[in-house]
Amino acid sequence: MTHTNWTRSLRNWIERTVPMEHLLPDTMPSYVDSYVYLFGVLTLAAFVWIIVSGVILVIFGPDWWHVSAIGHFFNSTHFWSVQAFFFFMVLHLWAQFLMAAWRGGRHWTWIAGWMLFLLSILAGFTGYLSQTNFDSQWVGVQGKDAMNSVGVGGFFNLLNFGQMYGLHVFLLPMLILFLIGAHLFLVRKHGVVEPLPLDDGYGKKNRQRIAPPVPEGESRP
Amino acid sequence: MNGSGLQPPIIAGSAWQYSFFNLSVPDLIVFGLMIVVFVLAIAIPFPGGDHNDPH
Amino acid sequence: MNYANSKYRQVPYDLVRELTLATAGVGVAVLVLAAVFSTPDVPSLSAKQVAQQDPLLLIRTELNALSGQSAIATYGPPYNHGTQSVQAIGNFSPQAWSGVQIPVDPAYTEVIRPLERMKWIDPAISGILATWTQASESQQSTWVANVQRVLPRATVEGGKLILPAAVHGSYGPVVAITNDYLALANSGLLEAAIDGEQGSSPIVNRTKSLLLLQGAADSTYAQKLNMLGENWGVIKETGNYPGAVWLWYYTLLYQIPPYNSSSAADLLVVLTVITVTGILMLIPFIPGLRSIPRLVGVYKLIWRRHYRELRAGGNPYETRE
Repeated sequence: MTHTNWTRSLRNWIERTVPMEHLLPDTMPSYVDSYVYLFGVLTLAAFVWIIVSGVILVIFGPDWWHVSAIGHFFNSTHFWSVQAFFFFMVLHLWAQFLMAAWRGGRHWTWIAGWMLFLLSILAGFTGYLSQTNFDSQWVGVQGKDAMNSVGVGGFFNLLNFGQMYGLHVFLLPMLILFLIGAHLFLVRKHGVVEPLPLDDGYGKKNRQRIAPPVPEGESRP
Repeated sequence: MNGSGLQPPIIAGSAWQYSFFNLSVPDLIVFGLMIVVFVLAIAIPFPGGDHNDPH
Repeated sequence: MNYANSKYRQVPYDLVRELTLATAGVGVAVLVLAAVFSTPDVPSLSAKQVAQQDPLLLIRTELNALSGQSAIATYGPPYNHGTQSVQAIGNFSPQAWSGVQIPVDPAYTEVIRPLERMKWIDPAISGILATWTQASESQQSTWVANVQRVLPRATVEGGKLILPAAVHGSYGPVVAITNDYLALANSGLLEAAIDGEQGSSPIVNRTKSLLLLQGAADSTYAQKLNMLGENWGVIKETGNYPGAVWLWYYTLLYQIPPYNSSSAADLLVVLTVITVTGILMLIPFIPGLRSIPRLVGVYKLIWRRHYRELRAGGNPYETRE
């Protein structure tokens, strides 16, 4: 009796889906030629610093930064990393939108990116609620009405510091990390999206000669 | 409310008020910077790109 | 094993170097920003601060809670069976369906119970509270109303409420309760006494003490920081620091019709945001919307060298391999 070896199947699937030279590329198509391609990696870099500063803050506990100058400095590092994170993430979103980067079967990459954006907002929100100062007090008492109005306020209780802190320092970062992994996996699986076809008069005279075999994709109405 | 003796340790941050807009100046700076960085990222030629040109 | 884009000419690239440089660059930037600008840290508004800076505000808050007139007393789910703050669109009301999950009866939770805990320190409190709890509900309301009527002419001196002599009926135990409440607030222990109702680590879940000041006290404080809802305050950071700029869209909705005049504003705003976000997330599948990038044409600038090459008759496609 023969049966499939699950381990070998998984290994073959990985090798088929993202071979090493795609996972860690040392070449790029020549059209990858703009600073806008850096917004993604800059978002990732900011995330690294969020985690580093966040881990330091967690080790010393949530009240440390109120009483220690060093703690306050790491809180500031955390704060500005978050600002950089959203700054570059939104620019990354604009750039990917304007390049219609979901074409060619990349719609899951786009959707995963949006899920990352939403989870990041939730992480930022629980971060504000974990500050144990007037920011968290005010955001909590104001935000609770929105949570209550949709019926989740009894469970997702913005005024429950312990719950918000736990979500902020563990569950949400883990989910974001997992989704970043999925997002990057999909990016490396599909490669960088190809330029849109010149179908609107721009460079039309060449179109017959060099018909770009671009995916018609989902961007064409 | 104004007559209350409650006193925060800091004064309110500056904000731009127009109609129903009330946006904090730092937020506007961040947003303005996003636009500037985005425009520059498109406008400035990426270094090393020239050797890709066919000629 | 080829990508669809393997047909394009490939140029050298170093992923690991790019990632390292980006991490280093952003690291330097955030360290400099942190060192230069720091972060704001306005302490929570405490009952002690209110008791000291505006004791009559704390007394008004206490009396509202005691007589069931506070916003939380009539709020509805998840705190109680009130209806004042229950939002609905027609028959659609997830708030009503969610039921009471965090029971809060402000008279007991915010005033009586924390004072009861103080009887170990001041046994006289037991007698005062017994007078209150044994009175009929209408008697209680009358006492509170009598105090509230003269409150505009009241003062607080030495941590004691000084009222004009009662003209219409009596104040009952309300003045004594209020003075003990002020004392508890001035000690800085009121929040812990409120939250301690449910366990040994009250600081972990501060729901009930936060609900005490959530009305007039917090709003007064927020107003002085230009952080009220109509000031887009929920997304603002205290002082001159950037806040949650990424929530502008969400907060904008609260400022415009039909949301700004709706009694179900929160519900409408949340549903709108969910809908719009869903549309944006599914843009690859929505004809018309997915063509916007092509119509806007910024891609022509981003890929201008590639298109120039095409226009010049060059061949950007891979010939090797």
